[in-house]
This record gives sequence, C-alpha cells and structure tokens, in this order.
Amino acid sequence: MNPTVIEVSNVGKTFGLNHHCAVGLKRQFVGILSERWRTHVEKFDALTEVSFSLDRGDSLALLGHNGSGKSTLLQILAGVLKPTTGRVMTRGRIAPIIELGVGFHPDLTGQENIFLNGSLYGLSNAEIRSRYDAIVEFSELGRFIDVPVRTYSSGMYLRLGFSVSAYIEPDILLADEFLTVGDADFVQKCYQRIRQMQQNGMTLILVTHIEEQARQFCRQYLRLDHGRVADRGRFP
Amino acid sequence: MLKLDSVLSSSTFSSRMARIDGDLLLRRISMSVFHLNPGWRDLVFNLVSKEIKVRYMGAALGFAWSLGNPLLTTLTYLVVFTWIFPTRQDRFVLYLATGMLHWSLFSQVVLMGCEWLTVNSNLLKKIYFPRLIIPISGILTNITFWAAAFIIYCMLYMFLGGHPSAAMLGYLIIWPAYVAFCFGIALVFSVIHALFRDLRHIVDVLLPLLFWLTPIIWAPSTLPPQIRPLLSANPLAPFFFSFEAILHDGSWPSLETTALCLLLGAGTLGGGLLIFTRQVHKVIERI
Repeated sequence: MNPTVIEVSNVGKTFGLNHHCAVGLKRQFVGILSERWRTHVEKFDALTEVSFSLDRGDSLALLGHNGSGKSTLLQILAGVLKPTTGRVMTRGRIAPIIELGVGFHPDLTGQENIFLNGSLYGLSNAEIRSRYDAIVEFSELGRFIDVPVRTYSSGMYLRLGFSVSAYIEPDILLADEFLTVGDADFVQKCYQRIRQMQQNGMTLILVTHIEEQARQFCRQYLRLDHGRVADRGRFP
Repeated sequence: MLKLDSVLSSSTFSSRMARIDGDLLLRRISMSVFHLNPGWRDLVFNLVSKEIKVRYMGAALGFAWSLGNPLLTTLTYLVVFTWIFPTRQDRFVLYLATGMLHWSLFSQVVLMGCEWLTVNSNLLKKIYFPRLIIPISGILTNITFWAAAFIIYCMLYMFLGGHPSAAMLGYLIIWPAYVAFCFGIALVFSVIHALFRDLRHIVDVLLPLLFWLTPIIWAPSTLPPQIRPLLSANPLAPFFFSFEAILHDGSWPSLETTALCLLLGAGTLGGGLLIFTRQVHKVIERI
C-alpha cells in the first residue's frame, strides 16, 4: 500500500484586502483624523473548506479560472502561506516550482546559481555537487555555465531553472504552469523527465487551465471555483 | 481518522498547523534551522557568499571598499578633535577607533536589517525555507565585512597605543552580547519595515543623532555631573563603556555593566526572535 504523502483537511484561507492601503506612517496618521484615508480591511476568502489526500506516486491537476484559488492552495502546500483554518500535512521533500529561476542572481554565473538555487530547495552543497554534471548536461548550456546569468537569453534562463528543479529529486513536485514555455524540443525533454520522476514514485500537483496538459500528467483532478471545490474526480 | 493518527505519529512527518503554540517556539527555531535539514546550513553559507561576491563585483579594489567609508570618517574626526577642537582624552586615536569600529557594526546591521524581508520578498513568497535563514545570513554578511575592519584594528592596536591585557577575555562576553543586541533590534526592524516603509528613512535620519548620544567620540567623564545619569537611557552606552574599558583602558568593565550588557543582549535577542517568528508569516502575505 502506498503511504499518504499529502493530507489537506478543511483548509481555508482568508486574506485581508487593504483598501487605500496605508503604507507609510504619514498616511497612518492622516487616517486617524479622516475617515476617507483610513484603511478599511475587507475579508476575502481565497479558499474555503478544501480537503483532499494524495498517496505516493499520485498526480493531481488543479483546475479552475483565474482567481479561483489554485495558486493560493499551491502556496499553502509549499509552506509559504499558512492556512487560516484547517491543516496541511506533507511528507518528504517538496519542490514548489511556482516560478522558474526564482532566486537566481543576475550577476552570478550559472554554476553559482545552481548551488544557490539548489540550497534554497534544501539540498546540501554536497548533494548539489553530486548532481551538478547531470544538471548542466540537462540544461544544454555547455560553456555558458560559467557566464553571468544576466547575459542569458530568456530561453537559457528557463532551461537552467528547470534543470535545477528537475534534479532536486523531490517527493512532491508542485508546479504552476511551468511547462508552457521554452522551445518544443526542450519542452518534450522536460515532459519526459517529469514522467520519469513520476514513475520513480514522485507525487505531482499541477496547476493549469489547459485540460489537455492535465490529462497528460495527472490521473486525478480537482476543480476550484471561488475557493471552493467545484468538482473532483479521475480522468478516464 | 485512524489513518490520520498513524500518519501524525510518524517521525518524518512535518506538520504545519494554522496555529503554532508558543512553547514550541524555541524548539522550532533550533530544529527548523539546523537539525531538520543539513542543507539549510549550506543555504546560509551560499547566501552569505552571494552577498559578498555581489556587493563589490567588478570593482578593482573589491572588498577593500568596505573599509573606505569608516576609515575616512574616523580620520576626519581625528583631525577635527586633535587640531580644531582639541580633546583632552588620553590616547584619543585609540578611543575613537574603538568606538567607531563597534558603532559601524550596529549601524550597518540595523540599516541592512530593515530591508532583510523586503529585498527578499520574491524568494520568501515562492519557496519555503526556514524564514530565520534570511536574517541569519544577513547578519553573518555584516559580520564578515566588519571582520575586515576588525583585523585592521587589531593590526594597528599597539601602534594606536593599546596594551594587551587580561581584561581582553571580557571581550569574549561583551561582543556576543552586543551582536545579540544588534540582531534582536534588526529582527524587529525587518518586520516593521515590511509593514511601514518609512522605517528605513527614520532610521537613516536618527542614526547620526544616536551616534552623538553614544560615548564614541566623547568620554562620559567629560559630561557635567547633572546630565550624566541621562546616559543610562541609551541602551548602547553600557556596551561602549565595556569596549572602551577593555580595549582602551585595559581594565575589566564593572560587574553591573557586564550584567547589563548580557541582560540587554539576551532580552533584545529573545524579544526579536519572538516577534519575528510570530509575525513573519503575516508579513509575507503583505510584501
């Protein structure tokens, strides 16, 4: 039996929307005197009572329109946001690929950025060193690896970003539509790599609004609408 | 439910609840930063080395620039208070250098501290890692730059008129307390600045004022007796008394001053950690 790796129970997330967002002390003081300048906070429920659980090797597509709460849910799973209600439990290393190349510093070389980025995901430098050759080979950057990242084309930047993510070897991969960019050959290579990781038991949660992509990688889906689970099931 | 319980008791399970109990706080800090994952130690190392590499990148003199400003300011004060408004302070060069060296640590940590969270907002919102890693690598970066100035100070120490003494052992107590004090304040400032962006500018304006209120250029003994008690309102004063006692006078700081330093250091650090770990999640939603 495969163990449960993600257990989400009754998760809700409420944001305070600050109208007239009074950043800065001056406005705060004015706000004391004048109603017009006072910050009024409106409660906004980004997620309401979302529950699901996934076993090792499962794959789930989060579907829904813009603003339906998919990305908020992903951030909660990643641990970046705390749920307002309910609880989230995860087992193993999580790699949230919410944006490729987060944390790259433009003045550092590709090599330096691989180490920095890998350690942001919790890898030790020794672990990164042992995967370094594979990462560079996958990225196809060749001799550009010791050139500052600011000189890279956007395609090269994404390739480096994905290559690091692909070798974190996470137990859970949280992806936010990262497969829609890059040239066709490289995208195919990324697809293969993800399938390979899934066969090795990685659990995948993919945020997307392209249903075709969801079917390609995921066996289950969860459709969110205004922060609530609208529909759930398995792809045929 | 049974499944959930068995899952909860598993040791490798990391659980994030909506609320974190206060008594778990200390355990969380130590666990989350160093024991849970050895990779976090390397992350601190990588972040510090990034900061150091990037700051003076492309400059021919590189790291040496970090010494330029404090050196020139110290020389200016030296000229002013030796020839223009002569001071009667014994071995004024040493007194001034000791004060300036330690002031630069405080002012740098507090100024940079304001921006720890705001500068790294993109990282903090996209990837999870223990949040304390950002301030820890921030202060380690500051200490690395400061260490360069400290080494110069040590090399010039005898030349400036200093005499090594047994009292220097006291430095091993006072200095960590001083760093803890600076770190605690910077932790709180990093949280406040993320919510009120005026803070950095306020700090910018008030730091020079605090500089003149702290016994760095002047000695407390030169103050008129009736205003001397006011000095105890400055939390930096006991640290500077101690540094001057140890490094300038070659004597142990008084027991009360030492105790006060330790208390200030521990209290500020504790308060800072508490505020930071409690507030950082709310702050991240708003930056």
